[in-house]
Amino acid sequence: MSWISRKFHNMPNDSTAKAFCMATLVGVTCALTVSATAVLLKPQRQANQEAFRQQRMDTMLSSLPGLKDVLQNSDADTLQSLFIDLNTGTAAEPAQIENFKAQALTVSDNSNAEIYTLALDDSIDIAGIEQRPNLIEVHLLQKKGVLDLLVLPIYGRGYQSTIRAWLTLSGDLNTVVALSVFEQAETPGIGARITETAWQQLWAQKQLHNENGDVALSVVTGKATNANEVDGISGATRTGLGINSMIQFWLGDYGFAPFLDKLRTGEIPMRAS
Amino acid sequence: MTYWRRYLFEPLLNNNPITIQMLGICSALAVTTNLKTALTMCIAVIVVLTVSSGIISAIRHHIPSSIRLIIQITIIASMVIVIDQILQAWFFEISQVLSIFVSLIVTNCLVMGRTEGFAMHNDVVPSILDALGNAAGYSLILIFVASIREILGMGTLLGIPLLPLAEHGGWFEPMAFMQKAPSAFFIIGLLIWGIRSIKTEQVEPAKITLHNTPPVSATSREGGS
Repeated sequence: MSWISRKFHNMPNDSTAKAFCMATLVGVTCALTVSATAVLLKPQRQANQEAFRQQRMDTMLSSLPGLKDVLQNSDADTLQSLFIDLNTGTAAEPAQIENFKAQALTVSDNSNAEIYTLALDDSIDIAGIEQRPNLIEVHLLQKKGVLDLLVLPIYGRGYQSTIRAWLTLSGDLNTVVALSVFEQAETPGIGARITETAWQQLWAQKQLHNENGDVALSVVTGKATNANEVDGISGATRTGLGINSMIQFWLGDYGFAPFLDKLRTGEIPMRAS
Repeated sequence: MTYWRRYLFEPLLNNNPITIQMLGICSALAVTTNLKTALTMCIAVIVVLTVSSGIISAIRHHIPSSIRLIIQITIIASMVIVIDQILQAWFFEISQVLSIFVSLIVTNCLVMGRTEGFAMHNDVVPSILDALGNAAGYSLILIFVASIREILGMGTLLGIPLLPLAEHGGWFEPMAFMQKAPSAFFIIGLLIWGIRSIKTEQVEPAKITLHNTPPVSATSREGGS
């Protein structure tokens, strides 16, 4: 070892070999430091993300008009969480959910990943998420056995980050109640304004479908001109386009469309209270 | 023992990185909307600059000059990532607001300026003192600008209400402009004017004179973001 260290010290500073040695040493040391920090702090960061997601959910639900009264007037478990199978559009079996949750804990085991996720072709993957889980958790609020609110998680690529949001639909599965962005890292002051209450309030009462029955809810450049459109944020066109792609994907055939169809036709019965 | 005082205290006012060297201006605009984010940014810059200066000074005899900038950036960037991870783990709310600016410490001219300009040529202890002094000088300006912007823009300081707001029946109408980035330019500009009025030795000689007009004092020293 001392031989190596002496040789290293005696190397002329401007030689190519020394440059390679130093670059490698500094690179490896820095890489180890960064990786160690990232791995050690990962559980803490994930716990924070999860707590924040839950908090956004609670804030959104408590800010919806009339929801507080509904919750107070009915038994507390009217707001239920439901894992649905996105491929079939039905509620997932308990065994499926157990497997799914267990798999989420051992991400490193990708041997039978196709059971849990669906790899998306470029032609389908308009939201830029590459793969989609087969099971996903949605939240339902029922009033006297009739669906009153449905909260769907949606996510996709924005301008420079993954945007995650809750899209809340009313019982008619067409009127938007709220959009609540709970994770993003868009440009501060421009794209990041999608987290502002003033902008999110524009989504209330918008219609998901147009008169042809197509999903037409979208952020436009400039001012909204009809019930499907939401005002864009100036300078944040690409963030808006990202949100539009998310909506198109998640309410399309590879997203919640099969589930929503089954809800409309009554194939998924609402639990009588 | 006066040399360490010079390294530590000169950058506070006499050779302040923001008001004299004009370094680190863009982060000074971005994070000063309120005092809390400014304080967090200050701590992040102090830690990153001090530790990177110390490391770079310690290995400076072995850094080949052909790749010195890359080595410096690698060390600084690693420090920045570590700080960002720590913020995300233990100061989650602040990290939501600051994350992008913390990442941008890598490109903060102040950090590269001190490591390339000082730590590459000086011993470890002076380098650390110089880094502390410059980071403190940067912090001083950030805290000053952020306090003004938060008080006038929101009527609060560190989130504690100071001025009675008009919407709650008081007399103070918050100035929305103070929450926008350009207001920091005005505050820093006025601050530089103020400091140079008192410390006239900081006034720079005019570089250009226009025909038929009195000499204009040009303050176009080389600076950066």
